[in-house]
Amino acid sequence: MSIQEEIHKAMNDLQKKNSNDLNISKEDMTLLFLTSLLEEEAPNVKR
Amino acid sequence: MSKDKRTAIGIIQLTRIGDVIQTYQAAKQLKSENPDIELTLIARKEFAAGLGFLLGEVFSHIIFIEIQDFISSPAATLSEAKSAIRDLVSDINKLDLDVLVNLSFSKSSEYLASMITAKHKLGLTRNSQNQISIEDSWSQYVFSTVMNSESNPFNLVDLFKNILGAKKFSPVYSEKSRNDYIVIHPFASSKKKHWGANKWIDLCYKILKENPQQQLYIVGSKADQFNANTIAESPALRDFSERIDNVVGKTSIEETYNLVSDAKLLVCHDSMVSHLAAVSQTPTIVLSLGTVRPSETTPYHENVLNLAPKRKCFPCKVQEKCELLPCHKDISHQLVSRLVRAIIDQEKLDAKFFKEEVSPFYLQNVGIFAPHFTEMGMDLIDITQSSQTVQDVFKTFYKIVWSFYFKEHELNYAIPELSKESLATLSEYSKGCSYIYELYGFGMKYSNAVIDEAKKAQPSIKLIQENISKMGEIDQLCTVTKKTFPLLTPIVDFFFVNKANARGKNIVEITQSNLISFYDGQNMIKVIYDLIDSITKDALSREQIKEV
Repeated sequence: MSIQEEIHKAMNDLQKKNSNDLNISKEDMTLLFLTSLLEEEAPNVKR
Repeated sequence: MSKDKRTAIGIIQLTRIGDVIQTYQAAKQLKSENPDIELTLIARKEFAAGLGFLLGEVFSHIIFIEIQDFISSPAATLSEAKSAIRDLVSDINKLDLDVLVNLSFSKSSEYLASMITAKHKLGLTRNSQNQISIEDSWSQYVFSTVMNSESNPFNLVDLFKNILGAKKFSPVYSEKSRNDYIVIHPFASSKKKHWGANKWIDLCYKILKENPQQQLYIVGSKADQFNANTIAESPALRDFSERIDNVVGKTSIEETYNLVSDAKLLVCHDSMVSHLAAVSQTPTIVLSLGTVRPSETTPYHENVLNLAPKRKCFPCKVQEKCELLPCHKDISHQLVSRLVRAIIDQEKLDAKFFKEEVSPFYLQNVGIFAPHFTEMGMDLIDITQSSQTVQDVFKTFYKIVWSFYFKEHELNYAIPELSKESLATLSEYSKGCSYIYELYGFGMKYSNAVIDEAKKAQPSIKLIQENISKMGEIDQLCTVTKKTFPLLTPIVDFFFVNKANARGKNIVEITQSNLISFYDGQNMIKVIYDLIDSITKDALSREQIKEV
């Protein structure tokens, strides 16, 4: 599994957790930080 | 902890180079007022690495972030990436930060701020429910108003200074000798924000023809080389080729800074180079187009002229498509070249100059703004003294009410002259103010009902829930009102964000915070109502005098 697929799967799991009103952990924050950084670094993203 | 430990402040700025320079300007002021603090900057490598020569003056530590630090190769795993992020956070936490300030207003910065440990946090973070959390009022203001409305009257450097707690709001100007050359930076980060090559060729032709002593440097990054060559190698400029130095893509940021520092003048769009010129206080003409908001991003110094189109769709939003770019035609190259000559010849740019020296045709659709610094920071003054729009008037209203709300500063401005049409629109807005005033009054009533009930020995949960739900309805009605009266959006949005971040450990404390928000909002809308009233009454009395 590539890192993109791993991130995709982990984000799906996190969304389920979030929709069940469960608190997110520091570990989850690292994933959210990584995905948001990837989103912002994508080409054509401007402020 | 050692008694001698200096106060350690970490600043997160993950956005573009221009924002990093503006952060540097605000942090420099804070450092000059508090020489003993230790500042750390956390920034993207691609945006901050080239600014090391400036940042090193102010920041004791600079931590660069880039995605390659976490995903080093295509074979990297998620677990390795997360481990690298944990290492980064652990390294930052070793700095034992007293205060962490997130100045970037981006998602990644919110999560990073949440992971870092600090005694106090300012700016956007995320809480354990993954919701945005903003403790300080200035950051609440930036989040609610700067990102969503055109009515923000404050420059970004001033906003950063306010969030950081700096006290002085006007840069000290120092005279320096300058060389006989003009620098142009005809590029910007998006097509909407810059003229095409043809208009720049026209402008360069006129500048070189009218100012025979001046050399012209074109600066920019490697990505701008093709467009720079189109300008520099244009047949129209062939006769001046010896006086054009195209250094686009050939200089580092530091070399560009040095070149701009010694220049007589910089002519550019809203871009990183305009902010570099602010650091060296180089006289600058900025051509603001497309999505640029001059009151927010005018380079932070006194020697600036900012030319901005006067049309309803300016400034537009990043996501709005525009093929014809009509605002690009509002600023004529003839006007810009006349202003260039005036600055080179040290002419006084006053009402007389614009009346006698500039064709009204060129001034028809453009505002020419110059910064003026007060105790609240930069004010942009239209030096052509053209008539104000309702939007301009609301910007002044907001400067007055926010300055009092945040700092208890009372600002005075002359009553503006408005066209009949603008007066009628302004007058309509008093209805919107009355609606919001009334809604916030109900908000106070329901907040008090919740507080009174919750304090009882056996409170009725049903009654509390009913009143909380009524408070939710107030927010909905405020949203409807702001759609009809869009210039009231900043107040509605600010107090929405302010209430969403209400402080308190229990329902009584949180509702007490909400009560204060409704009370402050009501006072603020009352002041705006009174300002509208005084302008419309003043216009009416002048009209009556004319009739007599």
